[in-house]
Amino acid sequence: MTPEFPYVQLPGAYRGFLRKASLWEGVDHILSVKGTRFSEEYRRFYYQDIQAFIVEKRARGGSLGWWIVLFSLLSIALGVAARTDSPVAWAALIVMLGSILVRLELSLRRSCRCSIQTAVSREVLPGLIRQAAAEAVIARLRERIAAEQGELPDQIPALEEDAIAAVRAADAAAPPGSMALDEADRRDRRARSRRGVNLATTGFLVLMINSVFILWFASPTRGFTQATMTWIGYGFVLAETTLLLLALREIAWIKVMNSLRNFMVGALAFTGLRILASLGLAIGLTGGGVSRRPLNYIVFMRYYGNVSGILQFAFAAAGLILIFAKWESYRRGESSSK
Amino acid sequence: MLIFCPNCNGSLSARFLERASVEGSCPTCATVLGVTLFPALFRPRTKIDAQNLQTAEGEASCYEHANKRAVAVCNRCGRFLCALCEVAVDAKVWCPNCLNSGQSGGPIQAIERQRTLYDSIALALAFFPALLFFYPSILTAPVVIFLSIRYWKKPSSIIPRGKWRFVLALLIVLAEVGLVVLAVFAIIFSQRMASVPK
Repeated sequence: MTPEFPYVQLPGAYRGFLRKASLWEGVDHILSVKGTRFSEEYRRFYYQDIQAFIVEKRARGGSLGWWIVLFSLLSIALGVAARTDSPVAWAALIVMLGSILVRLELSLRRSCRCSIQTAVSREVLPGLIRQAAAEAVIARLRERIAAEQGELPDQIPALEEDAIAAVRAADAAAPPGSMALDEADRRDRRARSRRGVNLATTGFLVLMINSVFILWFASPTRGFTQATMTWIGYGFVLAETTLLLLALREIAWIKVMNSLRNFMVGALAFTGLRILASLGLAIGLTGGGVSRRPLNYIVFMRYYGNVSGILQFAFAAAGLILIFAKWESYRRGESSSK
Repeated sequence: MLIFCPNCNGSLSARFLERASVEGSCPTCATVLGVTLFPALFRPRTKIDAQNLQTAEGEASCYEHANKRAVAVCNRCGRFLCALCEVAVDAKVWCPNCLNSGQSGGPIQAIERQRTLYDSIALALAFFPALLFFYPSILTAPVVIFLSIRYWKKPSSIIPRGKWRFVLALLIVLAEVGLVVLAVFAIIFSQRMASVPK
């Protein structure tokens, strides 16, 4: 550490295309830096004031820009591999798929939101979005904080029995509904969340079947007329939209399922965009009539169908994985809070 | 002395206060949490005794508050300060006035909350015209040159950051200007060649 730059970077940083965040270890404080590409905001947390780190396990996708880049590269690799059958393109396709799977795993199962509490504030550390980084940072800062504040014994009641008793008394005196839900409320919550998750699962399954249908429709071996296929497609869209909207109605109020709720909103937006894009392409390329179609219309729509079908399949698969992850964590939470 | 769930803002139960490091779920929203506690959580808050702040007979008083006892001296202007006016920054004691004037004379790094990254702005202004066939560089190039010269010496960020963005922005802008000049010359030359009778 030089006097000019008295900070050492801590593990974990958020690097998006527009936004960024990082955490720096100073001599007597932690510096949290967040900002855009063109400005930075600083927050300082002095070691002597830090009361707690709270790591909240939740799914976090990270930078949206990187997802767009990954899916764009996947789409390009898929297009090149399908056209040229080059081994390099297939290898790139496998690498892209692997990267997406790794990022999905990191985002769904190994992500968190880390907060820092002092006597007067509780702030989210935007740079820490992965559990491994949060654990490493806390382990590293523990020594620094211990040097300022002293060590806390592993079993606190031995030291602070009175303080714990005061909090226990506050817990016991809490009005019903604020902290402790009564049994009827709990049953209602469980029933609604189960219903919501079942509806969401069915919605994503229909989305997946629809994507397989789109991919099959885009292939030259289809057996129905285009009009029949279009109406079947609209039926699928209606079913998946209704199911996801009903699921949203059930789980929108369950905070632990916020990421699933957001993902479902994303899935609905994607479906809407896909329909708009299909209509736009159909009108734009054909001029509204069959006679004005350019020669490459069929080829283009087949390619578009492939890409949109694969994206929709990925969306549906990610949704099902997310449901599984969130439902498990929700169930664990319910059982451990009894 | 309470810990709150960052998701629902509900108070966490005493179970979270029994050990230095606890994993569990919020009793209100069931979010899975890992909590690491430090002794500051159990430290009693110091209460300010209003009586002790008052000046007694023969004691020095604060420059701003005549009825409050002086407890420190500003390291910059030497004025006496009470417990309310004393601001400790970078192991020095400042009075609120010097803190303000210090900020206007030049930022005090230890309390700075925001900085603008002019090098990134310059680089973006230099780079984006390259994506739009260089025409906007007629407008952006002078701005990039101004930003690079005006803010070259101004500290860019608190965290380590070199000057390479300014250098790259200037190089890109010089290349863009060169290309525009070349294009103008090419157009003039081709027009002159076309007007010469064969």
